[in-house]
Amino acid sequence: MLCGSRFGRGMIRPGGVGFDVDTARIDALLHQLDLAEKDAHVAINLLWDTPSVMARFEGTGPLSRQAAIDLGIVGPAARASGLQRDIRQDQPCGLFRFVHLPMAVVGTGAVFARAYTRWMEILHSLRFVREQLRAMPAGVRQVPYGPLAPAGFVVTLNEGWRGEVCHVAITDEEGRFSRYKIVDASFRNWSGLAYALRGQQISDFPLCNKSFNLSYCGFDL
Amino acid sequence: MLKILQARLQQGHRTMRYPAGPPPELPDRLRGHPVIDAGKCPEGCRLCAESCPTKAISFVDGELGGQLGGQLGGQLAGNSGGLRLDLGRCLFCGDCAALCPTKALAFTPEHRLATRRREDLSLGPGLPQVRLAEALEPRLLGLFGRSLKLRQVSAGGCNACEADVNVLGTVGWDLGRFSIQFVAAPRHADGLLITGPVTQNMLLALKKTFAAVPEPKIVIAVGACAIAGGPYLGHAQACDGAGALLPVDLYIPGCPPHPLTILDGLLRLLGRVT
Repeated sequence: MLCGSRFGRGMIRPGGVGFDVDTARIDALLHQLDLAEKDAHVAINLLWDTPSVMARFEGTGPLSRQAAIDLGIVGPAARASGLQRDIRQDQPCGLFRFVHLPMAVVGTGAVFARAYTRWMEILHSLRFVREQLRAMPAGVRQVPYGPLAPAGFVVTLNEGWRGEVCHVAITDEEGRFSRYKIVDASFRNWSGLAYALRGQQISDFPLCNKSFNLSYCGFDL
Repeated sequence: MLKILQARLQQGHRTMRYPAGPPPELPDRLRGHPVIDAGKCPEGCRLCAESCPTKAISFVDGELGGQLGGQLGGQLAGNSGGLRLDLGRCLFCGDCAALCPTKALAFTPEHRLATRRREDLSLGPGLPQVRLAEALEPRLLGLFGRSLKLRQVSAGGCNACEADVNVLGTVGWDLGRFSIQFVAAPRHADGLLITGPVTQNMLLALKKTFAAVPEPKIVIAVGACAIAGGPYLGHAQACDGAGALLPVDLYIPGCPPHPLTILDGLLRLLGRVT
């Protein structure tokens, strides 16, 4: 609805964003959120209410708080293991300097914790998005930008949905990119999955795998 | 038990009637099939070609147009020439259309994009629209038409194409009702559905997977990366897509192609949609 792509293609541009919203589009978005939330409540609460699901989730694939610290785990997986780690709070930039988002920390560290952390984040996100949509500031969609600074070195951190995403850019003397490196949260968290699988049943592999929900491409494909 | 029943009642029946009914409504900002009116191109303007991140746009000059397109080429010889847009390389980013001073190039929400041949994706003089995919030849249609098992190979892309293929398995789209299914091993499969630019890391795996599919087999390339490398075109760590490595039977362009575009392509291949 925002940019014609389910993956936000064309939205993030240098100097701003690719598409703007008007009140009609905001209303349509809010309506869609209401529908999605209703479905989400029904479907997801069924998980916690179903004993066979909880029997599989609880205690499976545990990742202790200490292990999460030692392995450098990030994102919801870290928060599920009790770490208060969220770039939106630890290194806030942009809107996150002004808006406080509650951090979802469950702490018990198994599949259930990772699932429940996500559920809490869904609820926090719904409220956050609604607040922001109802308070869209005026302003220019995209500002013109000039050439890149020469001999520059920039590191950015942003909280992606799996955890922190790091971009590093280095420019040469002419201001062209000489190196651009992206480190996905998945790169950090695969070791967490490997650790959580220790001593678990082989039939619980898919469950543990999906509880982390990492990107293969974001690691080594 | 009661909660499960309540949930089922709340959810109701969600599977769309398409193709028996109209396709689902698409977002108004969706960038689908482009429309090119080369007659509107200002003389010597190459803004679109220069802005294209994958060099999908090229220009056929008058003389070349004359050699290529016969009468059509002759008609084009007068103006700046024919604009050629290779949808196989196109990321549908829309930069070209945004920069065009005369709206000679614009994207429409037309979702039907799948073709059987690579060259059917090259829009330009003489080909204003892609030549939509026709069904498999009778022998393969007889084998796969009512039961198509595909092995998905994710060859190092961003996962958007994978996600938009995956969603076809959910209850709204329900790919299973067409007897199209994704299987756990190439040995169970009738063909491959490839996404991603084929990184060096995945090259051997892809070749082995293809070799492990029993004959006769088909290959479907979904997304700009799998067709021609996408934004990784020419990158040393990738192989410019599966199109360069394997015989492809169905090309579905996009970045990523909308699930409806992918479904339309698969159904065309099986003769369920014409």
